[in-house]
Amino acid sequence: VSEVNTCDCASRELAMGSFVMQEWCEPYELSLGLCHGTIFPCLDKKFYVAEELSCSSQSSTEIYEIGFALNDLTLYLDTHPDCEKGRQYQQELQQKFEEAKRGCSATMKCCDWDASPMPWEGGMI
Amino acid sequence: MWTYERRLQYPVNIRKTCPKTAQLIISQYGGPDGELSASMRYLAQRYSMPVKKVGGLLTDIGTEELAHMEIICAMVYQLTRDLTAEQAKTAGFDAYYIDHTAGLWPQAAAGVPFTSLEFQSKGDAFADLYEDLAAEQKARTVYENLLRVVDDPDVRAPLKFLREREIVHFQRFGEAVELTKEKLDAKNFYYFNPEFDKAMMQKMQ
Repeated sequence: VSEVNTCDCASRELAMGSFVMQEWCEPYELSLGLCHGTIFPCLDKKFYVAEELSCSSQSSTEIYEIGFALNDLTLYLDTHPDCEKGRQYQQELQQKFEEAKRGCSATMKCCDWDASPMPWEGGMI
Repeated sequence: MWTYERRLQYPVNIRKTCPKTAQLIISQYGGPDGELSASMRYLAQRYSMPVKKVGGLLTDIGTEELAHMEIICAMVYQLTRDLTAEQAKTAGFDAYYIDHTAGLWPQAAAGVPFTSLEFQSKGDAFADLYEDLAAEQKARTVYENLLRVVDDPDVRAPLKFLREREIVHFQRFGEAVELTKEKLDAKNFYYFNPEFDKAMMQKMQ
């Protein structure tokens, strides 16, 4: 029987939880991010009961996809403000979002509530 | 300050009326682990957070939870917008129908009204962040319970989306714990309350 001392403590502290900070991982393409509920493949933890809902060919409007990617990225940058890759991606997305919104307002009357369905009826912008 | 974007965070297009499903899903509007509770919890806790990044994160997640509340409400609304009195009677939605017709009102699946007793704002960074971590786990469980009993794919897709958000938020709150630990003495994180004992906190800077 080995008498190895198993009392070595890791550097973690007693009576306090420890969490791994996420490292940047290459984001999903925009439509997949919205469908999966995160733009980060490394954070995408599937549930076996909902596996039949595939994400392959579902594509919704760009506004939803870019808007959501920005939401998810905002939370990442809240805890990783110095992440260069994250900041670059945010700039890129913000630009795309502005373009997509301009495209929408040209075809839809953006400010008149009567002009399109309500958001909870499937309307947008 | 807030501004409103005229769209849901995740699109909801439910074609089939189902008051029974509405009655279950409404729990994520006004129930104990619902989105309204989540939003109010985070937006209440943020003011006294000792680490600015954490106060910012609570603001952004609290805001996203409002968008989730809107998704849930849109689902309940679409599941009941063409409801007939006959359907309300047979599907177990009758008690809700008598008091609220097909209007939206925050309650739990079992009919208990929304109450702030379901969440805490304790004025202690670790106590609050651990509550937030637990809240995300409990909400994940509710979405998984819903995914087991709801068949309509129009309803399942947004539920799956919302479940994954709980996991992402859990990760971010874990990172918030780490950011708070960084500002304190690892030998004893509990020597003082960084939200209340401000003179002690200043000495740490």
